[in-house]
Amino acid sequence: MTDITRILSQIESGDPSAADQLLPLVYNELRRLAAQKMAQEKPGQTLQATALVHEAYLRLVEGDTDRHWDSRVHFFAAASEAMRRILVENARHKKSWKAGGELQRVRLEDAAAAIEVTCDDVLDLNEAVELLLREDPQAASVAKLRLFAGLTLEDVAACLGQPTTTTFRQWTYARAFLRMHLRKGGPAPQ
Amino acid sequence: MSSHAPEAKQIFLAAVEQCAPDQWRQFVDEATRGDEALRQQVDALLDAHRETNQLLDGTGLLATVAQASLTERPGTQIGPYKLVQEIGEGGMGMVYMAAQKEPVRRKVALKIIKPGMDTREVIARFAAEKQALAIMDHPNIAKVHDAGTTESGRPYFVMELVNGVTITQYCDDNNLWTPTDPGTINIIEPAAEANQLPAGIGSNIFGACDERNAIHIDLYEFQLSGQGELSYRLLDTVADRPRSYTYINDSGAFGYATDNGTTQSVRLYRPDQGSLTVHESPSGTYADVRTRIRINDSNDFLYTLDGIPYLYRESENRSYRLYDLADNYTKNVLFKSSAGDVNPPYSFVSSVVSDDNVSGAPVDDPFDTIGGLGFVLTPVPKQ
Repeated sequence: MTDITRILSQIESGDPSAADQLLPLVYNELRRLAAQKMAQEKPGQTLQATALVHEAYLRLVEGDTDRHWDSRVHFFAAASEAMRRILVENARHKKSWKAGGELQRVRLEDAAAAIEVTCDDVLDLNEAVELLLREDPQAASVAKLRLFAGLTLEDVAACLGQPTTTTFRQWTYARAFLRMHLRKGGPAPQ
Repeated sequence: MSSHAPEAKQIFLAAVEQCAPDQWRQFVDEATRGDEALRQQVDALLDAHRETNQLLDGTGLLATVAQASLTERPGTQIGPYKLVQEIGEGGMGMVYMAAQKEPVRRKVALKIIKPGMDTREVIARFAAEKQALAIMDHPNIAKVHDAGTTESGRPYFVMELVNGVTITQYCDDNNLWTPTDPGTINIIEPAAEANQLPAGIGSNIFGACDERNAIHIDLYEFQLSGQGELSYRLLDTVADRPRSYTYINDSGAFGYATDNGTTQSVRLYRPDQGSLTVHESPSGTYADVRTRIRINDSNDFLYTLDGIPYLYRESENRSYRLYDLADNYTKNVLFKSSAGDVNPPYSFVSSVVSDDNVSGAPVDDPFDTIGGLGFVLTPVPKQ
């Protein structure tokens, strides 16, 4: 049993302090997994942040057959937060590198289209998410699971234990809110 | 914005769900009842709703989590140093030859933490390695000139550049490879197998450790064919493995052994290529080295037993497990020494003590590194 599954069990059995321990563990695990993957890749390769979260989940939680659905909730909540921090740290880290605009670019892609996203885009998104967290925590939870853990809205709904319609509404609002606070234009399609 | 946010949200969602886009204006007019601030908020949300954004509309972020292409490379200027060429790669760091112009013109070796390895834990280990090298002053240990952080935020340190033949080249040239196993160098013949504490083991190095707060380097004796012909420098210390022993002998050969529980491997350091595993043996071969370190000219000694650090109080003829110490002084010294503090206000006087009369202590606990860093002492065999 990994530390993470042990803590998930503690959370399920009602130990409130266990939840605090989950985030650093998941964070370290994601960093470790990322570093491990990057070591196998050629320089400049990209990793899908959300795929990383899912792989961590498969490795750490799913193998343990006694897991309940609750485990997924806590795991993905921690993982989306951890991934958000990792992306922001990396963006800040690279922004401190002064050698030219080319190097400030982080490559972000999705399955449909490759896009070039600057570190500023990542940091702007993070600021907008933080603003939303203060204004509307429920909508922000949906946005984090969607954006940083890569869950479908149906999975987000199941994860948060709420109706799909509610989740869709929260996402509609969260998306508009975030879009409103992102810089005009945003990343350009390639 | 905040005061109206919940209301703006409700009107925005109602508009999106109940009306076609061409009816939004009328719907919002009615719903906001002439409240201009509220109206502006709802309009902004609706405008944003219409616009696409690839960050938000994809299937999730696909990001470079560790961007290896952003590493320093030859030509990069790091402080006063310009990277010339890559000369080595270790577990944690990359080593470059670099040119320094100010204040002196010289070539140096610059070691930078590897991309993707810059987690807090690795950075701490890296700092411990730098610290271990920095406090040593010995002809067989590379000097650390400088340290800092690159603009990309990764720590580096600068060492003297050692020019010379690699140990593998030396072995090639002197036909030191055993014919049966090309990967084995026959210069490595642990003296411990003869059940002797080698005379004069690393005395020079312990001299270098004297009063320099060094608890990091430990010694082991190798028999070296063609003694006296080599003058190698220790370029690397073992800060990253809890049970490792760094070796250097009077002839300048150096390497380290790691103990993964079942086998121990000895690695010799190749200044230009990183390290190379050259010898493996079943566990236990190296267990017969006896070393204690005297603290501050006192009658207190540090030692480890099966990897567990202990303090022996001669005055009480009693051993304490380090983390059981009522006296926090020694623990603080160790924490400071292993935490990368360049000038701890403490002094360790290291000396080899041949006295075997160390009182027994339990060995059932697994080794735990102190402060998370590589506190490496030579194990004392159970009597």
